[in-house]
Amino acid sequence: MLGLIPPGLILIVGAILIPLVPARARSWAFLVFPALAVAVLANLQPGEHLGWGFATYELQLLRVDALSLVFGWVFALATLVAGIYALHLRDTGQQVAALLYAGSTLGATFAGDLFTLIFFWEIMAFASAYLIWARGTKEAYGSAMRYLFVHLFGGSLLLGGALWHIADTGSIAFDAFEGGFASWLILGGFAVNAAVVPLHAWIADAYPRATVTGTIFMSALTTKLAVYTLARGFAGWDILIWAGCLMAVYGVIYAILCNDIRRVLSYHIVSQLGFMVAAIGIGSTLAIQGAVALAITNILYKGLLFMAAGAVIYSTGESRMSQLGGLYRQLPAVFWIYVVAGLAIASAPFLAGFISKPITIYAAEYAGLLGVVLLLHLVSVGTFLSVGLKVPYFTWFGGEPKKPIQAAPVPTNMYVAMWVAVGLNVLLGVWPDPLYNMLPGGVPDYEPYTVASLTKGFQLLLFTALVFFAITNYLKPKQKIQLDTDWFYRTSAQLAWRTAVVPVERFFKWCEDFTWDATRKIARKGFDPVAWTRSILGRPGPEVGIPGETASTTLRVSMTVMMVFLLATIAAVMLIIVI
Amino acid sequence: MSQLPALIPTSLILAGLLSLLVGLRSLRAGHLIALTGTAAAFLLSVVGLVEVTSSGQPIRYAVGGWIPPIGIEFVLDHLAAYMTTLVTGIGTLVLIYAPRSIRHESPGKSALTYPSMALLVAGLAGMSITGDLFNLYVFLEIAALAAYALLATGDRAGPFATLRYLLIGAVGGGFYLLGVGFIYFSVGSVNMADVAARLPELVESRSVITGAVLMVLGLALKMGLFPLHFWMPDVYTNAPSSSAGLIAPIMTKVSAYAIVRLMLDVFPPAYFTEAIPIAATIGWVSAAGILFGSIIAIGQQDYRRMLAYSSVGQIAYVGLGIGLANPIGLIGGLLHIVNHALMKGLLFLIGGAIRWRTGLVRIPDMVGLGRKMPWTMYAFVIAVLAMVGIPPTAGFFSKVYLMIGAVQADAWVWFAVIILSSLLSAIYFFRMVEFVFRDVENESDAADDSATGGVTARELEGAVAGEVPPSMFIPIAILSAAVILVGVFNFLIVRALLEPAVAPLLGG
Amino acid sequence: MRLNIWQLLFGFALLGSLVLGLMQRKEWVYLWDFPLFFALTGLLGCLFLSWVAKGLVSPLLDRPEDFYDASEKDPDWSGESPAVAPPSSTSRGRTRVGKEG
Repeated sequence: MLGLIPPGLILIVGAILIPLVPARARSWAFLVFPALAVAVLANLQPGEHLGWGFATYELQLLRVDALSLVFGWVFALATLVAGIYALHLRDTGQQVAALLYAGSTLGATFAGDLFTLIFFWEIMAFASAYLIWARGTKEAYGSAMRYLFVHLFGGSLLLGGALWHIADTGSIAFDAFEGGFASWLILGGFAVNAAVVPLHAWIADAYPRATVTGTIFMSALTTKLAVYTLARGFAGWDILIWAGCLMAVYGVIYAILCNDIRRVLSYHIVSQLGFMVAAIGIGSTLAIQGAVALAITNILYKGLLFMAAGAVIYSTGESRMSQLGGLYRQLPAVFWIYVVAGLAIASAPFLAGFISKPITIYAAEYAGLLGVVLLLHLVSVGTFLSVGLKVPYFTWFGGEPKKPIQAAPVPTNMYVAMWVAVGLNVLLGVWPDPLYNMLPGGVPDYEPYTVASLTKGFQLLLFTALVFFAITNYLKPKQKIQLDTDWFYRTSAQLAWRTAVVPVERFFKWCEDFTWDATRKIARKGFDPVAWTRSILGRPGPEVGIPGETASTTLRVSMTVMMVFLLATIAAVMLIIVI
Repeated sequence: MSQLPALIPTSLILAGLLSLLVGLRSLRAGHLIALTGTAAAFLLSVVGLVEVTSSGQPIRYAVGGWIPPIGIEFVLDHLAAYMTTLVTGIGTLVLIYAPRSIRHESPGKSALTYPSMALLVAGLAGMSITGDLFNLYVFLEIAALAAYALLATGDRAGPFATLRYLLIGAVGGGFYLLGVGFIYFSVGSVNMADVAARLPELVESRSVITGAVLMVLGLALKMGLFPLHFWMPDVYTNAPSSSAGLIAPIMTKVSAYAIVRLMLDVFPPAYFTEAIPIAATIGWVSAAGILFGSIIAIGQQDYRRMLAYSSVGQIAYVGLGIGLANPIGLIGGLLHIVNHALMKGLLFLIGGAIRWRTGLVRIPDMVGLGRKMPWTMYAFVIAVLAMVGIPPTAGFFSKVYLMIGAVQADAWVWFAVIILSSLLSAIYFFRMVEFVFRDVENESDAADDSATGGVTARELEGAVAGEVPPSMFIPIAILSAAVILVGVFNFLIVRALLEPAVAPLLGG
Repeated sequence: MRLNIWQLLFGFALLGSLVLGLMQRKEWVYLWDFPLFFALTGLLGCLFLSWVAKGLVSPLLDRPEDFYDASEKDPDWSGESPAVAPPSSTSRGRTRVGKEG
């Protein structure tokens, strides 16, 4: 029985119940729900469960297989850790939103049909938008609106494509797509959430502006769910290989440039997603396993990176590297936590990244895509440079900032959450078997720890670091932002308004005014036709004034005239039809 | 219970007249009578609904015992029961809501408002039940006259807008009547069932074609179908909030229903699609209307005007359903009748509540309102989610059905239009939501003083905290719940009511 | 040259990885089997990426932090009314009639 409860439902119920819990216990009560979800996950049986009739279709609310199960686990665990990180929070709105968000993500993970997927996809968009909006700054408000519109747009693509697909095939099942215009629309919808370039700008716009605790949830859920949906629906689609490579490079270049720490991390999500998307495009069993493993471990160390960055922001109130520096004395523990995370994301040996990312590269090698392999190695260099070296150096060292910073103490629960994540990173790094056993297709045909791979890993990291320390000043962060594809819709709104809306309004208003003026003129002439005729013939006579004119008479006459006009027009039309 | 169909409009008319007489003496009694009559009609409609769905057979009633086709007949079938329940239900809720609102916005005119409301509901219910084409015109005019009375009591520009509406409405009614005349001329009867039986032989006749076109044209004008919508913005903007809350949800919908009734039960199947391309025309015009309404709504600063243009777009959804002319598309359009009635009614009632508490009607002035009227604004969020079409609200499902219908009919342009319109609606509605929930005190750039010199947000902070009285809030709460419940349980409505209603489309 | 403990360790690690790399005996199937490939990738790759980012992309795309603020004020609600005002036909009808005749 326990194995038939959708884990997502537990969290959604939690979202409804949480406001009823007394305020002081709320953050703790929050943890109950993901914990319950984990318990349920442990009991889920593979198979297709929970059918539900809708119109003439049979929905499938709980589809359990290796792919959905492994993602379900990591989403539930991530929610739990993020909940620990947020124990200090006193904002019910965010707590409700976070549970709703995580719950619908799980609902979407286990959805076996397209309708259920779309249903939860839309709810995710709103719940996560709230987490941005809750920050309360002017930029956050704007960012939340843009985030919402982008995701509604993606959701529309998904809805449109899904309905089309259902009409074509007659099936609502969510499985691998064969091709055809409908599947491209669906791919578009997934691509928005997966931050495929050029639809990626929302990540760099929204994640840095969300609340400190909210971003942890966001980084773990939306994009990784998109990876799941791509893996299920579009494995082996070649275009994803090229899209992924573009994303990997694009993201890492921007990551090297950005000033705001969380913006660096956000662009870097795009880059990491690029690895995953490219691997899904390759489509071999090994490649998919690599993509999934990378997604799972990414949640662990990306989440940790955001947590550490969040701790810095919480404590100092500042998120830009140009305004930070010299924090080592005040926040040493956070520094070392961040270093571990940075090494993990760069696939340093003995950490979680080392047992996952190389699989994707190896799969590319195995598939004969040598250019892709070289590119991905280059991107790995950039990864370490931007996230693993530049950020920690300029935040915790790099000279004192112009305005001295006083770091407030970081709450204990944040440390607990971060150390848990560190532990998980190290654990999986040295003992990857629990993850490997859960991958779709069984244990991957890849041996992470060989002398050769260790050597490669160390060489890459050490020499990148060498160059970094040599050219540190060249890479100093500037207090600037970089333009991205969101420029198109952020500046064009005014323009679109002027071109699309205003002319239509003006036209209709002109029509109205014209009609009124015309009828009024005729009404006046109609009152005293004799005088009017006289005035035309040039014979002066008494003024063309209207005796006893009041507002109401003119109105009445205007009305009558207009009515006569309309009826005459219609009579004419009718005559034409009949004859 | 075969007198049920007659009891519904009768009780409403009776309530209206009594309310008028008594109301001149005691406002409260007048209101109570109108409310009781409408509530009774609602209960009767529900009973009728249950009976029709369980027996599967329509309830027929011949007025005055005169046997149709000479006599006038009331027919309560699935579709009619669906419409009357909606109309009387909204009527009841608005009548509960009306007193405080009317006293605030148009003091001194309450005595006329309640009877007019009852008569409006009477007219619309009668339109839904009648089985006679001419009788439909009679009830149409009853409803229209009541509407004019309701609207004329509004703002400064109210009487003028009403006069204009009267003119246009008269033209519309005139077209419809002319069309009925043509049909009578050719067929020799105005009873719907009779005409349906006799028409198939006369399909080629020119006068039948003219009659059909005129009838549809008249109804389209009353429905507010683009480009015959131009009366709507001024009417909705200048009407008192409760009147708008009554007229906007149901008046245009019943006219749309009438077109559907013509298409399904009066004219032969496929007449509107094959013999004359009425359905296709309506469909294309609706597609344009959807886009037009959504785009223009973006520019509006007055809350009610924004809702008016939004309604132009939304009624066009129903038109699109008519245009698709396939079962699922039509089901989507019909479901949207109820969905939109609930959502728009809710939005107008919320507007009235805002006006009651703060006197504001312009959106830029409403910044930060979420603090002063949180519960009302939560209801507003629900309404907005429904308008944009987010699951599990009602708006999502009618949108999906329409899209499925469009796919089945290979109408790709209309498919894209539906998707685009949700995004456009999202723009103007979410913008307002965001505006309303902003944290005004902590924000660096607060809103400017409004250009009209009215109340600013800052001045409001001195006002007494608190929201709206229960008589206004309860209908709002009921409608909010309905919006979600109708969404979640829409399959019941579809299966029990709408599928039987569109059955004629499948046969022949 | 005075080096602190960290720099010494770092230097050792660098050298160590180079030595290990040279000790690998592997067939040259792919480009990256070349002994010091990854060291070179790290070295050259880092230089290359830094140059592309800072030297090419940054000058093109850098903007001041408040770049978007001007275009993102609520455009239509800043006090200007858009084209559609309350029906001017109403006011026009009344005022004109009142003044003339």
